Amino acid sequence: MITIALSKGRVAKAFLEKLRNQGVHIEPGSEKSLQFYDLSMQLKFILVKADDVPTYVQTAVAELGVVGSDILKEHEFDGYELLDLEIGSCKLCLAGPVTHAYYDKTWVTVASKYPKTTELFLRNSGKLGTVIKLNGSVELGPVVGISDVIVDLVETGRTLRDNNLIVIEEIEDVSTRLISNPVAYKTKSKAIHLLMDQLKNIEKENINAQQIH
Amino acid sequence: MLNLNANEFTLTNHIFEILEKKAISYGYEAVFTETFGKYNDKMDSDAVKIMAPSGDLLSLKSDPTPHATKQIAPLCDGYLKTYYKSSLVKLDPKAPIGIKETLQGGFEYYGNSNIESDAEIILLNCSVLSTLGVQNIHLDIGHIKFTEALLKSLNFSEDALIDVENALKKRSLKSNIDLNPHQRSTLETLLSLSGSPVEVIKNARSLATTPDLIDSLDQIENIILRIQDLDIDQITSNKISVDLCLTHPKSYYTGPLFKIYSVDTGKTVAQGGRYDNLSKQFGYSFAACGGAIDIKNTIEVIKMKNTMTIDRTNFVLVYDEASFKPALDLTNWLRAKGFSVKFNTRPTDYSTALQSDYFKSVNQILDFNDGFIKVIDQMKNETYRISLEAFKTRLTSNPGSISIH
Repeated sequence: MITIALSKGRVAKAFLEKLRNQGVHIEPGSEKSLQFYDLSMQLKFILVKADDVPTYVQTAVAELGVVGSDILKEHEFDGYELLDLEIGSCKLCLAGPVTHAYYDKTWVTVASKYPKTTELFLRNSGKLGTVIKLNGSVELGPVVGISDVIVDLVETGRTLRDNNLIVIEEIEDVSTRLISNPVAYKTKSKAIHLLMDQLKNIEKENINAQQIH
Repeated sequence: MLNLNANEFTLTNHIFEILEKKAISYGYEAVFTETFGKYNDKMDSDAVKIMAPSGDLLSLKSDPTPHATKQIAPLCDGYLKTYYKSSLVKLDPKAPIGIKETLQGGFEYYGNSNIESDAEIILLNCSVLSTLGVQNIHLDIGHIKFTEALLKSLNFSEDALIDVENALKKRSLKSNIDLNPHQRSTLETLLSLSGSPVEVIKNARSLATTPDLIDSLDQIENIILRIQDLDIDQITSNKISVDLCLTHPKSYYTGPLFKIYSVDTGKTVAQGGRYDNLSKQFGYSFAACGGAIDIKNTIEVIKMKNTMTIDRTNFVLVYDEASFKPALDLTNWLRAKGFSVKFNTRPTDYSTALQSDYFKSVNQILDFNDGFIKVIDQMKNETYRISLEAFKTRLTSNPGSISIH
């Protein structure tokens, strides 16, 4: 049996849908409980907070995990990122008010849920600054004056617009990844590759569908 | 920096004891490597650098292998087998002060280019782990030359090579890496290799288009056959995998590599490989392979799985001023018989004292008083009073009632 740690919410829903479309029988509504199985009892799913997925995988409690690449980078996950599941694709961006003076300031204050990623970004940009960790509503940072700018995920850009913020720089693409503990990858390689093949089939079908259209 | 609490200190010593016993039983000799060495920019990239009073740049030992190789090189005129127990200091940006101190114990086998030496190093590491009670281990074998030769044959640009190396580390090839169709399909084949060692090697042969690549696969195959012949504890066929993307952070490795994992915890508990070219850095030329136990991870596995029991101290003998001399005589008598004994003044508050690890970790507390001994037997959970002579007679006639270390 393979245990898969899933980020609760949209990611888990989309991932389970992908598996169901590939013929994996998971009872509808199973995801209401925190732990459930597919019908063949080959897969066990545990629903956890996104931030905790890398921990469950690194400690070998789960052989696989489904989580955003933003979390992996912040967590400094050093296991395997087996597949880009193309769920929840968005961008990690530096954003700020229309009147921002980011490039002119010698020292900036940046609010973010991702302090390590943000510090790395500043370092790589050669920019000096302070990073303020916020756990949510990051867009409020420049609005209430706790920061000059923010680093946050941007999907449609609506939340930024609603708070009179604009994208200053795109930092990187973010999407959901299938991750594995290296030990599990070696000891359960057949089962993991079978699952990967099923998921890759979905991607091939999507590409073919896009090409047709 | 090395923050070992009392229990971890005991565990560490125990691990080193087992390692040393195994090493000696296989004919390995102890080597003690210097703490400082002249800074070498190829080998000391993660070392703490220190300026000597002479103005020379020195490095604190971050890796025992080059130090040991340099030290034994003048002595290596055939086969030479050594073991070490070492504290290492490395630069680590994730560590609280940017410096990490670790403990490592390992084995080095010099002068032997035959795969029998690679297999022996693997055997030793597995044997130490099994003796320590680390269960459910898994052996992973790779070959640095296979990976390097394959990448070289694909002629990547410098930028693409960095992306490719990261991709192999993460086991995932991103679509935005600039690769031609042959490069991409070769790498995808490499990343898809899975299954039993036999299957992986068989499928990898489709990639082995040069003598180096073929030779590497042959070596891995022969090491596995040798390991199976050696019948290493816990390492059955389904506990071995071949990983042709396996790499090592140290650049001096030249041949087969191995890692041993604790399956239950996902931790690497030992690793090593062959490094035939390292001696050339010091003006010599001889084959070499080695492997080391990761002490920190092994301790964590032992504690998490609670698999190791360490022999308890036999007695703590407590006395007061009046009973000091006869209590001391009894202590010396017990020690001469091979028992381990702690010797302390009677605690004023027994119940508090008995909560401490110092007292909890002994089999029996002997409270010497007025020619009699009050015995608190913590193993059998009983307390009784006995004369000194009766105590000695009982112990002499039935020494097995308390195990000697």
